[in-house]
Amino acid sequence: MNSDNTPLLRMENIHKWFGKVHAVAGVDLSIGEGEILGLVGNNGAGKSTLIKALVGVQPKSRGRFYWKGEEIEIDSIQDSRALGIEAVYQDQALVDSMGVIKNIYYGREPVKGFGPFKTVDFEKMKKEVRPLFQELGLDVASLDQEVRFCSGGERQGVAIVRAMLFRAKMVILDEPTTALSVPAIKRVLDFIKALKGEGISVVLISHNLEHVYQVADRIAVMSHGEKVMDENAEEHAKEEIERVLHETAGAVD
Amino acid sequence: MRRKKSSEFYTKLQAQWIEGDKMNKNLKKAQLFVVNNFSWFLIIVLYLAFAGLRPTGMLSWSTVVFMLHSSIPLGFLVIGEALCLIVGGLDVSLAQMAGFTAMLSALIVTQWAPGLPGIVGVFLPVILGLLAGSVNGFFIGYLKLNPFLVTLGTFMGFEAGTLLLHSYPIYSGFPNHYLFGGESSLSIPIFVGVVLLMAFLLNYSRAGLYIYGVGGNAQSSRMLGVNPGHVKFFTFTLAGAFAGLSGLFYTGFLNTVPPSMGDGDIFLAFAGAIIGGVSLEGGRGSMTNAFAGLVFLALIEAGLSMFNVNPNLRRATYGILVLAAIIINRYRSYFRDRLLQPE
Repeated sequence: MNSDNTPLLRMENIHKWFGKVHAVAGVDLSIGEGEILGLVGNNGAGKSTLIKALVGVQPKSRGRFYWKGEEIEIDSIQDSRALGIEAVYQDQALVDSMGVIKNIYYGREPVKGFGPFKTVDFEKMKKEVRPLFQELGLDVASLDQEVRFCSGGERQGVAIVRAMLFRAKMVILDEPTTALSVPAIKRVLDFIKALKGEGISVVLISHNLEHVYQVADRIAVMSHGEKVMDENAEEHAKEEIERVLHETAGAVD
Repeated sequence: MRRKKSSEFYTKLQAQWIEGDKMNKNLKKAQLFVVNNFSWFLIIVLYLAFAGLRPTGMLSWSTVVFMLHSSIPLGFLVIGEALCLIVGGLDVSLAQMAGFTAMLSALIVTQWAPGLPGIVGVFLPVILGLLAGSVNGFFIGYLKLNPFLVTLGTFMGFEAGTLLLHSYPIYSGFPNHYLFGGESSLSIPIFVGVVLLMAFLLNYSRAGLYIYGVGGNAQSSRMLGVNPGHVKFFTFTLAGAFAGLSGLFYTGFLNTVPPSMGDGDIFLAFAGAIIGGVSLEGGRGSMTNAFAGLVFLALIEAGLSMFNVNPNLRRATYGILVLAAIIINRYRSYFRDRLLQPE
C-alpha cells in the first residue's frame, strides 16, 4: 500500500499571512521516509514560518498537508506530535532554570500512581534517557544539571534526545548549527546522520549550505515565501544553489 | 626497579587524587546544602541570639508555639505569593482578598445563612478565595495583562468591596468549628502539613513542574505544548484559595472579622517569600524555604516585641530586612551557580 513514491509528508500550496505580509506564498514540498531534506534560504525567506505551520505552533492560513498520502489537519503542537513530528527549534525551546531530564520530558512526563495522586516518574525518565545519551555520545555531568550550565552542543543534544525519545517519524531542526563551535557542529551533524540511521526523516533548516551539504539527500531553496529550487544534493547542483541564494540575498537587502 | 617505583608512586598519587576528588565532592555537597537552606541557618543563628539575650522569654515552648500560631494567617499569604512569584508573576491583592473573603464568608455564616453547619462554613472562604483568585488568573493568564496592574486593580476592588459589605467588625454569631483556626494545636499541624504538601506537589506533580517551567521560560513552554495561560490561571486561582485560608485562620485567631483585616500584610507576604529565596524573576524558589522566610519574620516580630521595640521602628526593621534579603539572595545564587557549574 505504502509504495516507495508516496512521501511521508507532502505539503500542497501552503500559504501563511501575518496581516498583510505574505510570509509563505504557496509552497509545495515533500519529504520521503528516512530522507534528509535541507531547507535553505536567506533570512526572511519563510523557512521557519513554513515549519511553524507544519508543527502547528502558528497554523497555516491555507493549503493542505498529506501524511503518507492521507490528508491531515495540523492546528496545534499536539496534532503534529500525534503524527510523530518533532521539532528542535532555533532557540531549542529549553527552560534554563530546569534540569536536563525535566527539560527533555517537559510537557509529556510519565506519571505513576492513581487518581489525583499521580507523581512524575523521574526514575523511569532517567532509565529511558541514559542509553540515548550514550548512543549520542552526550556526556552531561548529571541529568539533574540545570540546562543553563550546558554548552551549546549539549543544549542541542538535549533537544535532539527529546525528538528521539518520543519515537518521532520526522524531526525538524531549525538552524541547529547556529552559534556552535566547530566540534559541536560536527556532533550535531552526526546526530542527524544517527536519526537517518534509525529511519527517521529529517528536515534541516539552515542558511549554511556547507553544513546542509554534509548530510542532506535533497535540498530545497526558499526565497520570499516561495520554493525556488528543489534538487538532489549532488555536487554539480551546489553552484547553482549558491548562485540562487546569492541572487535572492541581494533582493532581500 | 626504578620503573616499578615510579609506577607505584603514580598509583599512590592516583589514589590520593581520587580520594581528594571524593572529598571535594562531599565538601561541594555540604556547601550546596548550606547555600540551598541558607534561611534555616539564619533562623537558627537568630533564635540562639535572641535566646542568649533573653533565655526566659525565647526558650519557652509556649513562646515558640505562639510565635508560629500567630503567623499562620500571614503564612498562607506567603504560600500564595510564593506560587505567584514562581510562575513568573506577582499578586499584590492577596491580603485584601483574604480580608474580603473572610468578611463575605463571615456575613454568610452569621447573617445570610446562619443555619449553615460550621464544618461547611469552613470551606466557604476557600471556595470564595478560589473564585476571587480566578478573577486575577483570568486577566493575567488569558487576557495576558500585566500581573502587577491587574492585582493592583483587584486590590482596590477587594478593599472597597469589604467596606461595602460591612463597614464595621463582625464580633459574634460564628457557628461551631468555624473558629478552629484559633486553636494552635489544630492550626499549626494543618499549616505545616499544607506547606509540606505544596512542596511535594511543586516538585513531583506535573502541574508543579509546569509552574516552574512557565516561570522559567513561558515562550519555551508554549513551544513544548504547555500553555502558559492555563498554568498562570491555575496558579493565581490556587493562590486565591490560600488567601481564603488566610482569612479563615485570621478569623479564628482574632475571633472577629474587622474590615481592616489583612491591611499591609501583603508587604510581609512578599518579604517572607523573598527572604525565603523565591526569585522575583520566576522559575525559582521552594515552598520549604518560603516557610523559613515566614518563620524568620515571626522570629523577628517576637524578638522585637520582647524587647519592646517601637512599632514604627519594627516596620523599618522589616524594610531593612527585605533589602538585606535581596542582597543576600544575590550572593546566594552567585555561590550556588559557582557550586553547580560543572568543571
